[in-house]
Amino acid sequence: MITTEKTTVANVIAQLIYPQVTISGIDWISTLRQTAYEQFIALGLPNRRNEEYKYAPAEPLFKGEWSVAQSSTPALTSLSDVLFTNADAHVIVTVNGYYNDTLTTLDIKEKLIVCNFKQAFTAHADVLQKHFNTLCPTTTDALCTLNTAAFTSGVFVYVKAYEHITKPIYILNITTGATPQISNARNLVVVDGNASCHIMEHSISHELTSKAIRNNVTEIVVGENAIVKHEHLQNDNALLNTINATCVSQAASSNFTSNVITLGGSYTRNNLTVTLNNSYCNTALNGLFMPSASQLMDNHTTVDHAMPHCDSSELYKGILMDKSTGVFNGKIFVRKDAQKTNAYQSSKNILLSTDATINTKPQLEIYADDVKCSHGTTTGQIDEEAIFYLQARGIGKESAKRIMMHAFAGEVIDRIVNPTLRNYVTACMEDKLAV
Amino acid sequence: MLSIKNLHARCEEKEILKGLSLEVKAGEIHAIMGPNGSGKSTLANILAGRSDYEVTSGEVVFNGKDVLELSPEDRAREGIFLAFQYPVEIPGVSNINFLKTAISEIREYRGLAPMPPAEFLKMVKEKQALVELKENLASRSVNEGFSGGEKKRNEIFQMAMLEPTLSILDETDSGLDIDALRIVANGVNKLKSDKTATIVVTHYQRLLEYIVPDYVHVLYNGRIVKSGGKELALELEELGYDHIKKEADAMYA
Repeated sequence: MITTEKTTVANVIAQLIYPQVTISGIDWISTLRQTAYEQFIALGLPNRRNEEYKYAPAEPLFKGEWSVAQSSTPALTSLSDVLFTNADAHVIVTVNGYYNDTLTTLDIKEKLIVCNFKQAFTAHADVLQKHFNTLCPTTTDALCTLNTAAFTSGVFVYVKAYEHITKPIYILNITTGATPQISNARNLVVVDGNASCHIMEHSISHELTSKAIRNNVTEIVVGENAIVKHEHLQNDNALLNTINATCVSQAASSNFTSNVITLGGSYTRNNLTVTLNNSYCNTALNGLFMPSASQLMDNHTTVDHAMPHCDSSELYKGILMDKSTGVFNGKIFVRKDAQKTNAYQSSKNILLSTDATINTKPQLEIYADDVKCSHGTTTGQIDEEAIFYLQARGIGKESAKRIMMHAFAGEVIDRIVNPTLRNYVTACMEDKLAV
Repeated sequence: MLSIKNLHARCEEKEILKGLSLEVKAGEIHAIMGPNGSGKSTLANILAGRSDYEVTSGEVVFNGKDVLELSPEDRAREGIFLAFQYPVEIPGVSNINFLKTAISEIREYRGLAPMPPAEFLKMVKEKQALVELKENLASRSVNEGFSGGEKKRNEIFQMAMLEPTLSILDETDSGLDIDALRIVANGVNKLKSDKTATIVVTHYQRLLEYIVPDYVHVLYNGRIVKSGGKELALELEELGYDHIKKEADAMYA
């Protein structure tokens, strides 16, 4: 009985996406998608019985009537305050998971290759064939599999060897519309050896009046000696449910930084997986999540140390309000060959309400014997002693609380690379705390 | 300036202050001494507005205002300053920004224009020198990683910046070596004027060699049982609290 129900939701979704699966004109992709489609039905959508989705079951989200998201172009003027015009960036816009040519403006002086993901299959066939779908866990993760079967469009970013892209690559993901929609956007970022770039993603809802699901997959290939910074601010409205998988592979001596800031949405699941495939890599993963009302924010991270002499450090902080739920699950694998690994992880949370819940779980699996690994997790209330100290110096109670929250979140916010984004996040955070 | 009349207070079920009265005028330094557990720190904390204590009766009037009706921040804005016995570490909040916020909120409360940044920085420099606080400490997070002596000096630095009319030093001498004690006392003495008053809560006479009080009060079992001039402190140092305890116990038995 249970199995039947599980298959039903996945089947309904599969039927919905089926027409798209068959329309690709390129053989190897058609085959891949057909396989993914069958795999997705076999796996079914993850529910509470799935350990990885225990606190954030995805299946209930997909129940009910849905349609496949359609592309549209909102008026540029209505976007002026979110386009980060003063950030001096390459601006790429996606709408409902579709790459939008009209709203995208690239600085052609830089040797950056950016295009619609679908065009990349023909224009950059060799790069695609080498990297596409190599990083996401298609045999185990139903949602990644669904994306592979059903993706409609997305962003392809390619930085050739020895190219340093100086301007940030700003990707604005807009979800808009008045009918229930599921979007499956697919992004691929390939940064070849000795190259560097900085990607800032920003996800927002724009005139979104109906529930929506964004099932997003981004694969990032970091070449030898390359430096990649990836930042993502998610500040959608309460109608949006997001599953955001980011899968990263690092070649020797490469450097990868991720800053994930989650403020909006109804249900947000961030899956971030970094595989260190060779020696002397450096990985820094930082996160800040601030759920309020009945929001759910789930951060699952995995750092997989496969080879020796790599360093990884991780800092995730949560500020939880009202009846919200937060999840942090941090896996660190240190494989047999990964000697001289340094891996650190820290998860710190503040509960501002007695009705808020945080589930935090560090998960270290260490198979090498000469490594330094540590993890720590703390959950507490706001420090009343510190509040009194600030009050005793003439600072009002509300502003004392605000100062404390800034100090707590500041440790993550200060790590945001781009000043425009950093200031914007600070302002969004203030708005959120002021409610 | 400060008038405390028949103050009774308790913490949870335990009665700590049992009818304490004290008058402090501008220009005066009062020392409050007494054995452990007599209620010295309770008095200091009640004046600053800590919510762990419940005042059951009595009154506290500061410059004509009912202190017990004011929030902790409003007491500070009115000019009451408590130097904490255990200053709190606040990671991520810089000393300077914290003082800037405090001063601007205090000035706003008093209807004064914001302090120009240049004037603020000049003041920081001056007051730092006063308590011999290293410059980098002022820009670091509040008390984070400070030594015991640095924390106490930071309290006096904050006091110097906020320019209170009534300063309460709660066991400021505890944990200080002789050099730090001298620096702290020197800071307090330099800030003294005929418009301000100071209450020094201490266990030992040592601090009073540097901050010379006009009055010394002995607090025992929630009441002031003996008051006198600075010579009382010396007497206590020599004879201890035992004979005062005996007299008081006999009187309130």
